[in-house]
Amino acid sequence: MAAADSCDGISTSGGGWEKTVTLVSSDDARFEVREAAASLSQTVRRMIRAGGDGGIPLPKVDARTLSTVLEYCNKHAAVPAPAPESSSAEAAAVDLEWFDKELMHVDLATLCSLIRAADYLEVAGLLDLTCKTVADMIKSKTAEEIRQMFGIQNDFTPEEEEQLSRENAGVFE
Amino acid sequence: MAPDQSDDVGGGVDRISGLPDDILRCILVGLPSTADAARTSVLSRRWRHVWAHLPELALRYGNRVDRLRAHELIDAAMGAYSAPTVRRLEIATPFGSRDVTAERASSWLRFASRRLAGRLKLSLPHPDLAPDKEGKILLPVCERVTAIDMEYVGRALRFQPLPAGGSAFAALATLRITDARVDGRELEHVLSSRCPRLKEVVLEWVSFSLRDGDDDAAAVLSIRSGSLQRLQMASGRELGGVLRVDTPELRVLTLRRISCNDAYIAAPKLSELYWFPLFYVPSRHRFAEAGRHLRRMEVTTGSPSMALMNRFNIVDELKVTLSVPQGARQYEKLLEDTNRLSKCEVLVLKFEAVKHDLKPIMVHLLQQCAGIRELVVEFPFKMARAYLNNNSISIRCPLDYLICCSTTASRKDMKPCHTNTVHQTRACLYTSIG
Repeated sequence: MAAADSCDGISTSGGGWEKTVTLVSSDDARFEVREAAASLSQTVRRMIRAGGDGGIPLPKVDARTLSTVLEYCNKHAAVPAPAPESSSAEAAAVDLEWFDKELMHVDLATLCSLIRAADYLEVAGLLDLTCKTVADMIKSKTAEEIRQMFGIQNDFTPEEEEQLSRENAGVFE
Repeated sequence: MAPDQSDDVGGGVDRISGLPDDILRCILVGLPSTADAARTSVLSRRWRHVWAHLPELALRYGNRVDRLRAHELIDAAMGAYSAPTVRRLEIATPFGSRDVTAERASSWLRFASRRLAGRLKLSLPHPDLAPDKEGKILLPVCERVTAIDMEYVGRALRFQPLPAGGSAFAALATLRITDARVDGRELEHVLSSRCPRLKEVVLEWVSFSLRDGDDDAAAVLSIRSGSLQRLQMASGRELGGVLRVDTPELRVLTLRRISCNDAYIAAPKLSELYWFPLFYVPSRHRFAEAGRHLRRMEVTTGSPSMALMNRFNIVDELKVTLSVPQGARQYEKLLEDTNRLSKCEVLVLKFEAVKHDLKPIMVHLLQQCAGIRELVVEFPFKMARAYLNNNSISIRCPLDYLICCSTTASRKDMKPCHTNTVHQTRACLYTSIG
């Protein structure tokens, strides 16, 4: 589903041409993106406004992560939203939801890179989506399961642990 | 949709703890409740205090396990919470926790008063409380709270005596109280002079005297506000004497199941009216200053609200709920009732327990409103099945749209039937029922 929307250029569905910008990843890969899609990133939007040529450098995002971020932006900036009550608006919303779900089928390392990138690029929707995905992984798991899943080292001393369980007995459980 | 974690589990690389605090908080906010977030404090030192700085506190203790100690858990969470300001506070106690006393609930409201800049929701579901046990909940000044929603209060709700001057509820836009006893005059004072940004008030199952039989306090209930735009009141209890609504900016008024002998409503900008009280007597329930034109109104046949169509004789969207019991007399009454509908552009007919043939009723109603552009017909599920499969109906007025639906389906799901070029349409009623 995502491939159909890969960023291949500047022709619009109406047959016209849209303004594009070039983004440059930390490992010097260049991505030509519609300005409307790139502007979902507040960071990029500010840099577009500031002007300059030769592409917009994004030194904190590697090519692999950036291409996923742009997949998200291209999809979410695809078409102007139709009237909110029409049936096509509903269909579009369902389609986006599926797209988002598919996009989140990644390993944990990728997910964490996406979170960092969404934060740095200020793509609010993607940051919410990725954080929510992690939240869903944490939900209804025990502390030990969460540690296992994320590789978190329990660095409390036994005394601290005991104090912790006394203090917190009320707040969780 | 769990991501593929196969290459991470047990890999020993902690990829998540290195994320900045605000992102970890962003993750924890996505958990169902603050209790879930607080559980992460035992993961490691890094996670120890992350939850305590969350921007929102959702202390919902609904399940049975927590029933006996919900109040302790809520107290403990508030005690451990470290951010100076919370943007949303939601507290819900399990049904019938006996230890959620009025004093304890008041202490939670004091927390909101000091720390909350945003929305407050407090829900205290309870069985009926003995009058001597109920106590009173005290709502202090909440300068930065934008919405107060107090559900199932079950007791007297008092406003803490307010300092002279100052607005006390300076940011408050929405106030919703259900199931409480409120001092009517105190409420009037707070709404009229302490809530300069108030836009919406909902009062349901609220009695306006602190004690049963306190007639003096209940004689006049006055809602005055210079900013209020929506007012909704519903109550099974006697309102007693007079309801006064003095609201220059009011747009939407909804009254349900209220019995007041007299009402004086000064709302010059009123545009939507949903009137379901037991009475409407034009000489005793007066709409001062309002024009005769509304954007939306709902009336029910056989009820006093039909007379409102004399007062408001132009209504852009008129909804008529039809309820006609068996018998010729009832049928005649319906015809009388609907002899003069308000002039409208959109007519919504909701058939509810109509024990007569629909066709002549429809024809009669449509004769009364020749100018409509859109007709919406709503049926209860059973009726729709019985009537729609093999009935058709002639509509002798030009329509842009005819929409028929079962009341179980929402109107926007319906495909409109264009009839704008057909002046005499023979339209088969259809529904969404498969």
